[in-house]
Amino acid sequence: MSCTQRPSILVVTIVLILTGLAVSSLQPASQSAIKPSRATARAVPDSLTPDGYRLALPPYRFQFPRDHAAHPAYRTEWWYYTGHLSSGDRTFGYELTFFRVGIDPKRKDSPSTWALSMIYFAHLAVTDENGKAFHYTENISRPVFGVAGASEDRYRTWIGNWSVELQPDHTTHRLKATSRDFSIALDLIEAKPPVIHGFNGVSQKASGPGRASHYYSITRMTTSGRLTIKGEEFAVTGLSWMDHEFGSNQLTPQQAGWDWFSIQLDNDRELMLYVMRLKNGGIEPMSSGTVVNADGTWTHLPLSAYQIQRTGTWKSPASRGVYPSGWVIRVPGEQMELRVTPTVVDQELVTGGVTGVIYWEGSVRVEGRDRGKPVKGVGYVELTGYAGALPGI
Amino acid sequence: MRPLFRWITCRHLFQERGRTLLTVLGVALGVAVFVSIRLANHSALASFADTVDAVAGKANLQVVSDSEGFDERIYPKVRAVPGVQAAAPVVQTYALAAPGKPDGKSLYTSGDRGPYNETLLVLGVDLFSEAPFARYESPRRGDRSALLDFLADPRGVAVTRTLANRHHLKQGEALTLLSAGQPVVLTIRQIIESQEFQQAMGGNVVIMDIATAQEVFHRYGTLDRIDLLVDPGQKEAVQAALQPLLPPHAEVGQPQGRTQQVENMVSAFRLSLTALSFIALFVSTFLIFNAVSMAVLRRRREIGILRSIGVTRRQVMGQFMSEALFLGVVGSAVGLAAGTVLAKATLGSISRTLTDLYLVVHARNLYLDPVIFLQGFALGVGMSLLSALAPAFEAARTVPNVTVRQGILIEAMPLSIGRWTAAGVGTLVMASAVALWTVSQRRPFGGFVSAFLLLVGFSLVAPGFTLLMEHLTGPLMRLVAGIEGVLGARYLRDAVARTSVVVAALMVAVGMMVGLSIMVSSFRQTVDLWINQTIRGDLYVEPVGRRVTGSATVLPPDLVEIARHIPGVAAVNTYRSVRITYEGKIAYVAAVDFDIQQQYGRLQFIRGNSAEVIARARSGNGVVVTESFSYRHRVDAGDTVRVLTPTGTAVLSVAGVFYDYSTDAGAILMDRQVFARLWNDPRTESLAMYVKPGASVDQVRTRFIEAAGRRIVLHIMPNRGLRERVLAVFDQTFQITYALQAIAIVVAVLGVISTLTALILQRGREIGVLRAVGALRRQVHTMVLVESGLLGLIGALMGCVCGVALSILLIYVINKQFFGWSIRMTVDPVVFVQAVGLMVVTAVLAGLWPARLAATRVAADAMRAE
Repeated sequence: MSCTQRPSILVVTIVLILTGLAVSSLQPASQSAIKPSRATARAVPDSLTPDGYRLALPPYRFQFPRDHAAHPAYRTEWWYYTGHLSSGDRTFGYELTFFRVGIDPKRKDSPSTWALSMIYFAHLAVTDENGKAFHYTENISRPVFGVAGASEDRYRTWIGNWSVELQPDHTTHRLKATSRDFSIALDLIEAKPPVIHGFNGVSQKASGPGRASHYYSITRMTTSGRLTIKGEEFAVTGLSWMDHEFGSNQLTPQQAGWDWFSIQLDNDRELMLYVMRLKNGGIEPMSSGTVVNADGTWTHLPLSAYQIQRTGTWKSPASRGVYPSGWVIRVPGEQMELRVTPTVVDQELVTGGVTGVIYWEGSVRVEGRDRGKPVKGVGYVELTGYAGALPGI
Repeated sequence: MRPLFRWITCRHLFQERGRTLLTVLGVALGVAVFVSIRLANHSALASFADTVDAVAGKANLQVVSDSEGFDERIYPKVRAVPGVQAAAPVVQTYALAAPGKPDGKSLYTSGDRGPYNETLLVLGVDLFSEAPFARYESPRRGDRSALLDFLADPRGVAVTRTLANRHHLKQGEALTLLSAGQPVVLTIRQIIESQEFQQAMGGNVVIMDIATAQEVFHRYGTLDRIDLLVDPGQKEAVQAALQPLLPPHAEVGQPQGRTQQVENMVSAFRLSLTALSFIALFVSTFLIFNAVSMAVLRRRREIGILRSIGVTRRQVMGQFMSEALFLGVVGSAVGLAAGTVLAKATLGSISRTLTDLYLVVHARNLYLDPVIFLQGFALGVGMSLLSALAPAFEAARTVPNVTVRQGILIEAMPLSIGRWTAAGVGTLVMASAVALWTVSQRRPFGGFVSAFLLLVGFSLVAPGFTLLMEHLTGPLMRLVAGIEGVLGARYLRDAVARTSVVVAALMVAVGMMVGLSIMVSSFRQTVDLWINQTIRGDLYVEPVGRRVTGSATVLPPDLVEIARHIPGVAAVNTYRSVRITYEGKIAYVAAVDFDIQQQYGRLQFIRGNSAEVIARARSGNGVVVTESFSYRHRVDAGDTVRVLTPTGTAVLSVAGVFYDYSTDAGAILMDRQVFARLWNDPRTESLAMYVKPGASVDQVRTRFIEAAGRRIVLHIMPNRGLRERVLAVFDQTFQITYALQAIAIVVAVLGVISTLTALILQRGREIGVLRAVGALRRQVHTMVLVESGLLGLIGALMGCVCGVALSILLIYVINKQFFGWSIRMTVDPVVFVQAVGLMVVTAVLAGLWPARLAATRVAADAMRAE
């Protein structure tokens, strides 16, 4: 189930599905535009993709805890947890992500249990910041015999013995994931209410209706539990971040990759930013961010409200990809200037020769000024599309 | 001294290069047959083992079941067992395939597969469970979106690079598979580059999503395997924890266990072939023995000279042994090369036979196992040395003064005929004793020991028999050929020491030929009779490919009803079979409609009449078993069998034992309703139609074809067609036997030629004397031909006797022990006529050239020595 050396199909599928499937669903749409088959055009309502998935369209009103749970009417959905933990003088970063991806809704009619209408996969990574070591593994399954799944009526998503489940108190998220070499068992308590990104419940990813997702974050969660690395167990406490996003057609084939940042400052403020890089070297104008205040209120940041400057690069010996490594982020409207530094340089997930999709996802340290005052903080950065071509792009 | 010696040896070998060549060829043939059979067999099994390995990947435990698979709902339970690190579900079957789209033709005559000429191993896998097993490595960089295409296409398939290249198939092109006779068009989405899969099944492997496999082959709800990656330290514990979760007909074991099981299954087949190849080697040994003996006799004077100038006995012996070594080494080396070529030719035939009889084996490439080459070489050289030992030792005993008495017929060595004959008879008695012991103890190997003793015994009796024959034929020869005939016959007696060697070689070859012929033809006649009695239906219908896909093949259920309602059809019987494991061995369960079987069928029971036994089995929900099953598992009428089925262990009473030659694994035959209940499987894989008296079979056939339509690719065979096919399978199985027979005869003929030439050439002096005292050329010619012909005759006659004995051994001991089949021995005298005729004619022809040489000898040359 988990194998540190070979997280083969998982990552391919992330990128494939996020981008590749979007492409494949585009094609029938453009065909029906060319062919004057109005019947077909009318048969598919504007709120659905040609193969029947719901598009992320405004307005969308989030309701919690209902919206923590699964939304199978949409093609893709993920639940994403990152955090920083400490045990005495040891510090760790962790990431646990669950993905649900619809493949072919028609396949639900097959008499075969295994018919591939949907797949689930998950990622677990732990950064040992003192030991400068990075461990990662994956888990993937189709939803057969309850091996993997996501409840709709309450928040519980799982693959094998990896799971996330909202406790009856409706504020505690319980995370469990065990691989051969390392494991986590953590309770995350919501310290702030969810932040809804974008406008009207819709986070636009590119121009055009439905090129968007429903996206919220819980930017501050007090965390405690246990972490095991190679037989060594740590009682840990710390701070986590949750992202939950679902949509159907949010990406376009022009996109080359993205840089994504989540930052938690010690003044109780948080920052989320992303930049979609295009194949033509430009930046997707719909890229955006959100700054969250100590009281839980937030402000949307359009691309024009922030600048991200790269301060260094790192060349991966494994993939030979050259990644940015170190940034200065400026949000002039917030009087914010943050220096972002990876805690461990190599937090690259290198998949085997088979799939060859490689990306960097790692814990960072933050230092700088916010509203003019010195701040420190922690964060997570995700960098895709730097090593080798992404399928469908 | 040594260089001189070596020179003498080389000179002799060169001077008699024709004879040397023949001997080398004989050894080469023997070694070649041995090596080729071993190689082909080894390759067929190695190919199977490779397939198992490739398919297993890193799995160190497997949940498997008999041919029908098991309920997939155990998968989550298996996966959750502590210590299981990974579990991959697999649907596995075989299917016939054609590149591209089908031609729309839906009916083929028996044996014709139309465009569906590839047999493929189909693996339905869950790629998401696969990563830890590391076996389906495939998409190259830049080819990654193909993986998604593969997963997202419900009719997508991945093919090996080998298969793709063979048919020039590319991604996006079509491949049509037959599923229960129905063509299913799939799209190639992925090319499998992994090296293991180019070897497995000779590259005939396709992979599809597990759901696709279930849909295409109608295998909903079942799995054929669950491959497990288990903590090596906890293997036993996991195994123990798993077993109670599994249905009774499923088991958990190591992947290599499967190969072992198959090796056990085909061991009888392999052993009998190996034994046959030993016979070819045995004949070669005679050839060497013969060659060295001749050399000793011919060079007696030279040896005498060498001995009188101080050459030791040991050195003389060494000279002959090194000659034998040379012949053995060169012959074996040539044999290894020839054997490799021969193995390549045999491989297809062995593969097909194994597929017909046991399971799908698809060997395309030879596996050149160095051990087999070493064995072949060692055997060839070893047997050469061994067979040269006696003549070389004899040569060393030559007394130094022999040169002085050069006029004497030195080759007429005193031979104690009585002792040889006694030893021979003793050996034959031993052979019989071993045979009897084998039968009583059911030790299959005893049969081969007995056969070997039989050949040795007959060889030892050869000198005595030769004398006897000379005694009997002498007067006859006088009548036929006058004084030349008498002289020719008498020479056989005078030189019995060496002529009996030739007789023995001929005898072994003829004996083998006759013995195998009688066995095979008896077997064939028995099978023929059995087919005629058993196959009573007028029309047989099955999906194309049933022979390779076995129980994975089923007919659409409505087809049975369609057949029943065709005017002119009296009854329709349905057939279904699955492979099971019974007492750790592979066996089959077959299901037919006992009602119809009772009315129309004619199974031949060992005791009792067909209708009565079937009626008894039907009323008591019992079964009948085949003779080989009865023999193998010591089950008789009145006993019970305990069969593991998907619904539990069934205890069934045996109503009777019937003759059957379709499989040596043994089969249990039951009523279809009993089967349907026990296996949860009411399906039918083939059907037999009985036509009403007076109705036309052709008309029924036409109506059935119309009613069945074009959706399914079928074989429809009339009664005669099926009989012919069964016999064709039989002949296929014995093809190798026929080839061996031919080779043994070639070796024997080579022996006759080489011996006669030597025999006559070195009698130059004697013939010279004859010519000097007034013998005409024609007379010398006749004398030599009489000699050769008699030699052939005596060898052939002995061979016939030996052959009958051998066939008894083959039929009643070896066959019975290995396969459990009763064969009615029938001896066709034509075999004897053929053997005797062939040998006499060969011997006479072989004598022609030496006879001419002898006749042209100048008398003076020879006389000078006298």
